[in-house]
Amino acid sequence: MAYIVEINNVTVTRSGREILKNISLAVEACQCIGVRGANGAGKTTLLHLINGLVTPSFGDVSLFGQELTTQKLRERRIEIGYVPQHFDTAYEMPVRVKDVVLMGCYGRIGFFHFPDRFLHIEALNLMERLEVAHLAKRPFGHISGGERQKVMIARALMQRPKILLLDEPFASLSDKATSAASALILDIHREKQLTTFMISHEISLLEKLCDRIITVEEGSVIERN
Amino acid sequence: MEIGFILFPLFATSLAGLACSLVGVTVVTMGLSFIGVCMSHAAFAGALVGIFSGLNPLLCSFFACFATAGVLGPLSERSEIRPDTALGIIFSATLGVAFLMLPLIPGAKSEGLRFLWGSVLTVGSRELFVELVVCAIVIVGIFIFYKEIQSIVFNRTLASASGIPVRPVFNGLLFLTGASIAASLTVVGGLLVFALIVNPAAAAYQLTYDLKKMYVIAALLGLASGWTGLLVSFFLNIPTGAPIALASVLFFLLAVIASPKRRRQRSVK
Repeated sequence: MAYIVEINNVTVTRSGREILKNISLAVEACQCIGVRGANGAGKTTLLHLINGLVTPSFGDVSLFGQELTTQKLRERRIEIGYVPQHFDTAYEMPVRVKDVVLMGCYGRIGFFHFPDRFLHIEALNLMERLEVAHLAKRPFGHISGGERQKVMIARALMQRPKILLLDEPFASLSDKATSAASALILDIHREKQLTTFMISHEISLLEKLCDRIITVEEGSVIERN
Repeated sequence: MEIGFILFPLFATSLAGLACSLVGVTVVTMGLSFIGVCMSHAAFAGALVGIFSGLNPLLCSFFACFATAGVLGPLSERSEIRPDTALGIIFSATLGVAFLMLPLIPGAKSEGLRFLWGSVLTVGSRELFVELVVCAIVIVGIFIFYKEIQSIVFNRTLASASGIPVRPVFNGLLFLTGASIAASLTVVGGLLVFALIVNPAAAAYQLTYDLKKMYVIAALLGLASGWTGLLVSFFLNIPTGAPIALASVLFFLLAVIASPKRRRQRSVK
């Protein structure tokens, strides 16, 4: 069976401490994987392992059937949309919301190309679906935490990824906004046939959205049936 | 003859103002101002080493700036080394070399002092040509790689995570900063060239939330600082470095007063 993500006996060490210990995980295409665990358990490190922001001390990671090496890292990252948990920026940062969403396609279109009219329309459509289109011209530093998360989700989707990594995407959202955003992510996951990893502390949300739920506990991965 | 006497300095200060202010946008938005200070002193030290050893001072200042960029680039990625400490060490090393070399220069010190204070009247056609090439590379580079620069300025980690080749672009920006500093050394001088890097961009930062507009405003303020400084130095018969630096400070203060960001923060409070 071809797995889209394969993590084989990986250990990640940082400053002498093992963050992830000899973990293995195999994920098929189009699955939605819920990731839960206590603070500091290694959940974010697991996502960083998949998009290559962290390299394993031991073991290997394969994406789309190919081992993730330094040479292939940039090509792979273009296909992985990542929404971070926290995102602080200077209040006066000279970047507007629409620019942030458009940034999602920059890696994909490459050097010496500029986003055309269709990419601008795509960005606006994504922003409309996530109900942040009215913020397009607002400086990014001026919007709330919940609005930023929606913008970052739009940015990740702008990459047209095959894998989507969401680190507590609803943490700053109200219950109503969480319900709307989670329904939207599920729609997009199915529509675009994505493989999605979602970190959340809300077990009921993960049970509703995900095909599988894994728990990261003291650096180990435990699968819940 | 009178026109040529004015044109060379005018072109030299214009090109210095443009190149330095444009690279300064990245320096300011990414909080790398002290890197600009380090590089300017490295450029000055390099020029003095060149004079002392009989080599071309301009080439040596370029080499010193590129060497500094080569160290600072990887340093900025290493989280276990505190960057301000490392920058402080590099800064003290380059300034130490510079002031060690100055008294050791054989003969009159005027050649060394022109790299310290700036001496735009002594800018020759070769130096002007170098400035023109560097300025052109800066403008073309920023235009072509604008979207990558914008992503990196916003957040380096996210830019890297979305497939943007952050390291070559960021290091390229550092080398361009070094080249702009080295090329502008004789206009503003080693002690004050960082003012032309930081101040126009910092002023532009006060005035806009749009990165494209920030580049344009910084460039205009860089030009204005250069011309104002040149005019003052001409009338007072003093080196250009100090008036240019002070003009850039004045424009920064005016920008702060006029800043819509400051007004917005006051209304939010």
